[in-house]
Amino acid sequence: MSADSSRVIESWASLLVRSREGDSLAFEELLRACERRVLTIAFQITGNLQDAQDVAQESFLRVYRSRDRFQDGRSFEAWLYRIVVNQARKSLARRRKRGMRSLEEAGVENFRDLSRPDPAQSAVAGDLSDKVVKLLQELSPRLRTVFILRDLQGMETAEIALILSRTETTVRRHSADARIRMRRLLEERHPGNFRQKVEKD
Amino acid sequence: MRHSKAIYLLEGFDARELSPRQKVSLDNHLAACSACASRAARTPSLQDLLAAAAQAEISGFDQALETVRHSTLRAARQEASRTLPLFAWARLGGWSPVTVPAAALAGAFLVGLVLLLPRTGESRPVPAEPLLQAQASPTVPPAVEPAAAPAEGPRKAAGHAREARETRQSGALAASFDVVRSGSEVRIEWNRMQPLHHVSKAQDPQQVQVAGRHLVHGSTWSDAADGQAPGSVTYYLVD
Repeated sequence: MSADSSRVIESWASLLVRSREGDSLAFEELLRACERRVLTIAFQITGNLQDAQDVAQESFLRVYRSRDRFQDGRSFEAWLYRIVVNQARKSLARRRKRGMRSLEEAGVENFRDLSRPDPAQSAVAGDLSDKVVKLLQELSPRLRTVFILRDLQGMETAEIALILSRTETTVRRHSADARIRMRRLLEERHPGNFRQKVEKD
Repeated sequence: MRHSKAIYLLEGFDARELSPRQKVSLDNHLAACSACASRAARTPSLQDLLAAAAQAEISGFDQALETVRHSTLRAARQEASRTLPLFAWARLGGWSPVTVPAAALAGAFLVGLVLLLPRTGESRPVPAEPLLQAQASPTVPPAVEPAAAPAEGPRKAAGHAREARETRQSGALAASFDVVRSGSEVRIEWNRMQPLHHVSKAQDPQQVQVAGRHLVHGSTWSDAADGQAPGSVTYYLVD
């Protein structure tokens, strides 16, 4: 974990402590500080912005309700992301139960309905992002989660192991499996993107 | 090293993630195997490819963030108002943490003073660990004395009973209470000069039993003949 990252964790944890002591503004500050990353992870796991909103809200409420139980000195970030990942997985399970496939039936279509006029500079990346999020849904939830935390969120193996309660060896293995699977999917479904990148390299 | 293992290391790991032993083993294999070396040369970095996607702006994202923030804060405030400890509710409303207890204490002191006036000189023990605290109320709070024994009035239910206490600051009242849970009702009962006094509120007794901090708010009435007027009072059960 980098020094910057540690500082962020310390800061978030101290906001939680202030919130626990009755400072209601501290919880709002905490929310503003980590909402973007939480919603991003939730979106990448669920593949659906509406579900991601629900996951993010439920996660923050769980943090709020359990703030008295958070132990000082432990990683707030790991605790938070564990809650988010668990909530996102529950959301996926609920969706499976309902027999919905988010991206085909609700996700990407609804997601685009929410779109603002697309800024030109992010058009290509945005298009690729859609494709990646769509492909992610073809990974198992376990591989998908590891892939998101490792390769899209840039977390270290040790941090992911802490969040998922797995050994680092397991995380490394899942990460390798997920990368190989994503690589195959990208090559199969979007050879253009992949070839472009190869040529550029 | 077998080809499959070499491909697994090439495509599943970033070079920095390989152990020195794996790296040497892979390099040796690539030096000897032209097929794998050629594949390694053609293998783009997945991380580079995904970096653009990861950093792309997601349309509708900021709007979703706003929604999450507002709905979360609203829900948190609602929860807080149901389970807040003494005085914290007012801080949510923007009152300063110093002003609120000070004002409440001043109010409580004045009310206590009025109630104590006819009986000055009586000394009352101050309990060490308050279980029940009364919010300073604009209406008449219960005038109470330490109860020698739990109240045994005819209206007391046979359910779980928990002793609780009301504490005030200097020169204030201290008394024993029974919190009586019966069906969907929670009653707080105390004795003063023999007659039984009550505070009642229809509230799920399970909540009071299980949780540490719950609000009991209700009207007071009295069996006493000394004319204590019915009023409204708010209690916070504090474990």
